Amino acid sequence: MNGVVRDGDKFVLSVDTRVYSLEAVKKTAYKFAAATSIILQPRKDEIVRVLFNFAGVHGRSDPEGVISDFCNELLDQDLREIIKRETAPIRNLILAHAFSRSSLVENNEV
Amino acid sequence: MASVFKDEAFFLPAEHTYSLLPFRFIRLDSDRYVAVNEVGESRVLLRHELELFVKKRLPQTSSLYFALKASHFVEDNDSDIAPDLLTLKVRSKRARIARFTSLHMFVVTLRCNHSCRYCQVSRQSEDRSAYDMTEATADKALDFTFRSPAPAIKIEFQGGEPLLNFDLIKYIVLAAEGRNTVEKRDLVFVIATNLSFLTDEILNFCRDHAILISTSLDGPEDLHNANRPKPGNDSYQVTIDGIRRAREALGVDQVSALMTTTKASLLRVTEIVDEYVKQGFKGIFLRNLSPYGFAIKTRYFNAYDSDNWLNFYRRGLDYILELNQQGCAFTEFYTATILQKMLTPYETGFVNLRSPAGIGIAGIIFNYNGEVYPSDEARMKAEMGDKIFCMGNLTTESYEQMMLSSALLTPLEDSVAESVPMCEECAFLPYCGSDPDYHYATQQDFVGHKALSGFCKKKMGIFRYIIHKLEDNPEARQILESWVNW
Repeated sequence: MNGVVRDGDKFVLSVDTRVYSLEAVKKTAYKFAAATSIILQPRKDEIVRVLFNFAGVHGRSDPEGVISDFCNELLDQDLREIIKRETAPIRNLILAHAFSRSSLVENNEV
Repeated sequence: MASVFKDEAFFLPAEHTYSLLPFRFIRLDSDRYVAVNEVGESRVLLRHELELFVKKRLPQTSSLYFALKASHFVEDNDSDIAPDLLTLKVRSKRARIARFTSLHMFVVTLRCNHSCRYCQVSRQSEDRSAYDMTEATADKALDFTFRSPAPAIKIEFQGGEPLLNFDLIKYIVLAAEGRNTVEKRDLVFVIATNLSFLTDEILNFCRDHAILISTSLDGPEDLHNANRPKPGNDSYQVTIDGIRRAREALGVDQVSALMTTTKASLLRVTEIVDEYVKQGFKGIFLRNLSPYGFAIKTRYFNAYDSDNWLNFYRRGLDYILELNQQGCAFTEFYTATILQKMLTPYETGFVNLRSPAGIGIAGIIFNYNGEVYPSDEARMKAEMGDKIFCMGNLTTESYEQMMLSSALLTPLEDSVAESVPMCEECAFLPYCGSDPDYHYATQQDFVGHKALSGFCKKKMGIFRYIIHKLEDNPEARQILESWVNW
């Protein structure tokens, strides 16, 4: 698989944080807890090494499939960041407006 | 001579002038994604369409753009009404929170004549009256019940087998009705019973006080009896006889049944559905085992995994849709509950399909000994020795002390899915909910790691399957839409 190197019993994917944010990498890693254990190693050159470990309870996972899914999810996380960045203010406004005259607030004021 | 008409392009929207409105997305299958907005309106689209849309390169003349605009995923220069409409729908979705606790469950006894292997309740033998609720405790439970601001109050009698303490049920019903002459709530009673101790006296009382009956029917006779052992091994026949008598006395629509899926049920979903059709029920709730009480102790919970159960559910739903296509109107109630969330601006009362979870604020349970728990599952956990969810005791704590106890507020705060890792970005969040009981039972944490959560896996599997049906099968969509109360 392109961009992935094998390091002993681990697979290493290098991610450029100028392309994907560290938060996107972390969120993606969190999602894959059932398939693999992941360690993130930052380097000085804005590259983060993502170490996939398929030992132990993750021994039955398909490394290539998992890493491929990881890359796709990373793309999705990037898209989610764009949506979140653009829509956070209007989302907050909608929620604030939605609850602004609710009976929950009125009851609290009594 | 210059034309008095503008070019066609003049009337088209300017390019790249739209703004995104909040939504989440998730992969539906290998090719498609589903985008869902803040109130559950959805649109299935291809990955490149999603990317075009998010990066403002989707033509504003395309049918997809208009579809997304109609579902409030976008606003543009032509219309800025979408945020206002979304606001109204958010208010409608969240209205149930303000209505507060409606369901109040009274465990009038722990005694039971059944010894179901999967039973979520810590049963006691029939002759141990030490496990009955007293009138004094019931009075305090009623005080608590009517402190709720809910306009609709449902009192559900549970056990053990509640009919073993029918005198107390009568006492509570009469006392509640007496209080309600002043309170003027919409008051409903339900007895959750195995029907073993049904008498004419009980049926007459139920008829006179409009009490609903809810029983357990796990499927065909051999399966039901294997799941629900009792002396005489005749649980199925007792249940069927009881259903018939209760319907004759109270009316067909006053009697409902619930099933629980055991390992023995997994390959028999069509037979189970057929049994419900045969008994004249209008639908079934395909219900999986929960990791509480004796189900954990007896290892029944671990007898099958999420994939097994999802296969069971999918085959069941397919079969029910087939029945409907053949003219037999029959509903899968859990699917119907989710469809309500998917297709309408209204929220469900289902405790585990809400964020925050409905523990304590949708339903609450009074144990026979006066202890108060935010859910039946929490009470079951206490019977196994872990009282982490115990809000207090009716004899020693006030309503305020219990409703503001950390035993309730901590798991409740942790159940706000909008701030939970993975949930907060999940497209299915508007359809889903939280289950702090489940995650505490399985991961010893109220939030739980959703990548490792059977709750999450089952829910995601169900949501995806329903969306596939809605999207890819027009005939199924028509049937599924008929299950929703608009």
